[in-house]
Amino acid sequence: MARLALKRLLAAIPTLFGAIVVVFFVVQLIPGDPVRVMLGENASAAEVEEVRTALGLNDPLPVQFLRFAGRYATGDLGVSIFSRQPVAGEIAQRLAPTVQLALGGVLVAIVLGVPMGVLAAARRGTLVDHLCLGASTLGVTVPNFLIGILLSFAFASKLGWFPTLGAGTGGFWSTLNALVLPSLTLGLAGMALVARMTRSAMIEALGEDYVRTANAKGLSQRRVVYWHALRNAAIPIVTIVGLNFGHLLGGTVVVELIFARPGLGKLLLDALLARDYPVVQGVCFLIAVLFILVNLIVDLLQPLLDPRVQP
Amino acid sequence: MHRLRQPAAALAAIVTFATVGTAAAAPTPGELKVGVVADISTLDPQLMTNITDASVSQNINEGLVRFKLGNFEIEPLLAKSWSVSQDGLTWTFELVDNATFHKGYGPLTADDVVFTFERLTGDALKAPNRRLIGSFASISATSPHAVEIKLGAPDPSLLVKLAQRATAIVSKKAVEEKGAGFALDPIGTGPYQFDSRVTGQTVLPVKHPAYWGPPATLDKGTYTPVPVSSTLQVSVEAGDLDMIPVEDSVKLAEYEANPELTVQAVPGLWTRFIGFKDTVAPFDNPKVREAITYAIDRENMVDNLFKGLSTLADGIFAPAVLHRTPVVKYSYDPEKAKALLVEAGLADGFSVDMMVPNTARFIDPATAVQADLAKVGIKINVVPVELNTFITTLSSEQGYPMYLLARGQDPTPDRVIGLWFLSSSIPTTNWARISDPEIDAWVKQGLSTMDEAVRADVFAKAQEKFFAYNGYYFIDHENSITVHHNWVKNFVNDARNSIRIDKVTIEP
Repeated sequence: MARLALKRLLAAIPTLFGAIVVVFFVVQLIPGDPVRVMLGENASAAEVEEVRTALGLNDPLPVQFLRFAGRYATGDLGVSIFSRQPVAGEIAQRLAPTVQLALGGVLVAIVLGVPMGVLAAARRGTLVDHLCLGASTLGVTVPNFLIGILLSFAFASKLGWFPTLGAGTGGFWSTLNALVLPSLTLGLAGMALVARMTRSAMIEALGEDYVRTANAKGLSQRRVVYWHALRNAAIPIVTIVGLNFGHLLGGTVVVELIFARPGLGKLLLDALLARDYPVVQGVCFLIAVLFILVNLIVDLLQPLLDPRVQP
Repeated sequence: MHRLRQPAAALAAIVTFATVGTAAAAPTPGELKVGVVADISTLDPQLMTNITDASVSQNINEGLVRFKLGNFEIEPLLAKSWSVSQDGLTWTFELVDNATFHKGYGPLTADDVVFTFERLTGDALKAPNRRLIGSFASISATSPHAVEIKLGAPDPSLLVKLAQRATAIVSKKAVEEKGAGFALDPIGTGPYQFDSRVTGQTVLPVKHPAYWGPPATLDKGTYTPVPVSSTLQVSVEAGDLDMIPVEDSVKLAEYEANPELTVQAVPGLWTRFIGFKDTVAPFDNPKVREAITYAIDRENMVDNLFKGLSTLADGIFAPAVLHRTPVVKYSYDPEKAKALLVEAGLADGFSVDMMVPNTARFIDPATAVQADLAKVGIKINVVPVELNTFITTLSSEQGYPMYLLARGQDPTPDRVIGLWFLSSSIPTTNWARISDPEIDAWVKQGLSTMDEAVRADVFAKAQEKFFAYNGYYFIDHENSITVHHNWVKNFVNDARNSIRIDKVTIEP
């Protein structure tokens, strides 16, 4: 297991290098200029040129790339053009709220999606099944900005149960309370996906010989479904949750905007709009790292769930 | 049925948990919670370029002078008095002698002032607004509480520049001690001192206990960036925020009808307009540009589309700008527009792309313009472009033949009149490419004299002639609008929406 982990981590290095090369050049291809954003539409050409030169933005691209790659090789993600603060620090401050949100989203997707899928499979063809399928179709099709606004309107503005914005005032309960609506918003689409995947994996598992054997032994329906069938259906579910984590990271942008939560998504969007290249590059690099790590975790989990899968 | 129990139990748990925390729908005594649209970028005044940063910073770092509450008259602040030599080249500022920096950084001295200005223009900081005081030839401390500034050329808008954020005074000791970390803990002399910041979430200035002037009226002010307007609206209605900016006409009407809320609207420092590149066909023909001025019903737009969000433009510059002249007059006459197009040899009209930044602020009026121009045979294809790409292209040699945008201004016309009107600003900021020796001469004369009567006269002539080119069709001046709960007292909105909180109180 440890060897596999090491092998996969080493294999990630060229992937990461490829990612930073792409990120560096793609960001430069976007038309626009951070200095124009900084100085506004009323800045003279001379003013813009002066600041661009001072910030090193007028250097040839290969020179800028070498400087950039050299910094990354030493673990330095650079300095934001706007705030003049280290990018690593900016990211660190916003990492926790985003990870909390992404985990909250995954939790919602699993906690609501798996039972829904199991229920639908166990009651296949009944009204319950149709209701679950209908709910999951709705979850996939309704855009999360709409879900977020509706949840915020009902549970925050009208009922006052949760705050309308922010990531809490610091304490555990405050953080958790501020996490409920954003996690639901983010997790509902994932829930639908997990429910559908669980349903089909469970239907397949419930038709297997070992389930018939378990039923023949006189085990309770609950034990057959949750202990025998669900364990075997778990592999595709774990895979889909892992893959979905990437989508959730993308989805955090919208959710962070709606609930005015600080986070990487919001940081990335602001940096992109302002052409704050070092911040865009830093966040993209981190997202690439997170993707690789999550995929690694999924790979490592599979042998634990199914001993037949060799590490 | 038992299988259904688990989801039901989970739902019950969520509902129970939900009732544990309840959102506050009442004011917090001594605290003002302000919602702002953009995130805070930096709290270092010399590095600041956006209005949100400035809103927070003005409570923390003070300048030598400032604008009076609610308007653009200059009043003394850290400089209790000043004098200027006959030739306008030497300015002497007497500082107050009892101002102290926050958190034990000692008294304000002339050295801090000299340090601040040298920091702004120096190469080490690479400050974006370093050219703001480019006219300074030298600055020196003539006593512990007096500074002398020598200019290379007279600068009629010097005091306005000294009221801006980039020239706000910082503590020399604190900057030398903290380096780049100064932006994370700015030290000034203001009525509020920086307490804490949760990046992307809140910035918290708290009362400065040893403030040299009248003490701050609040214990703290919390600034929260909220990028989505629906969230801003929900938050102020739920009482999570006390005060927010308003940019939606439906919501504006709703707030005006709500007895628990107060709306403050003043004409802002913006002019929204349609621009033409006067050097390309068909806009190189003055008759085409004139025809368009008759074809657009801007009164209808302001009355039925913007509904209180803006005021019909009667000048190139917004009403609050010094020496602005109400030169803008149009009449809506589609038949005359058609006749002018016939004269221009375009009886069948023409088709053109109109570029707009991709937000409702520009797309909505562009759609109204599209409908009006279609009636006279001009087919507009509205092309939304991301703002940064838009500005970069517009400012380049390429430019856009036709576009819709709004332009911000300063309280004095000096900076923008030079950038918009002078032929030397083509193409970067003179987007219509108007090149007129007479306008150039008037503007240069106005920029270099301290005589306000002369300035008023030449700037008026320049505005009249510039308007007559029809290189721009001026639509409206956007208002600066704030809504707050009635428990917020003594707040005065201004054209810059600058949110000064030193006199604000919370009275439940």
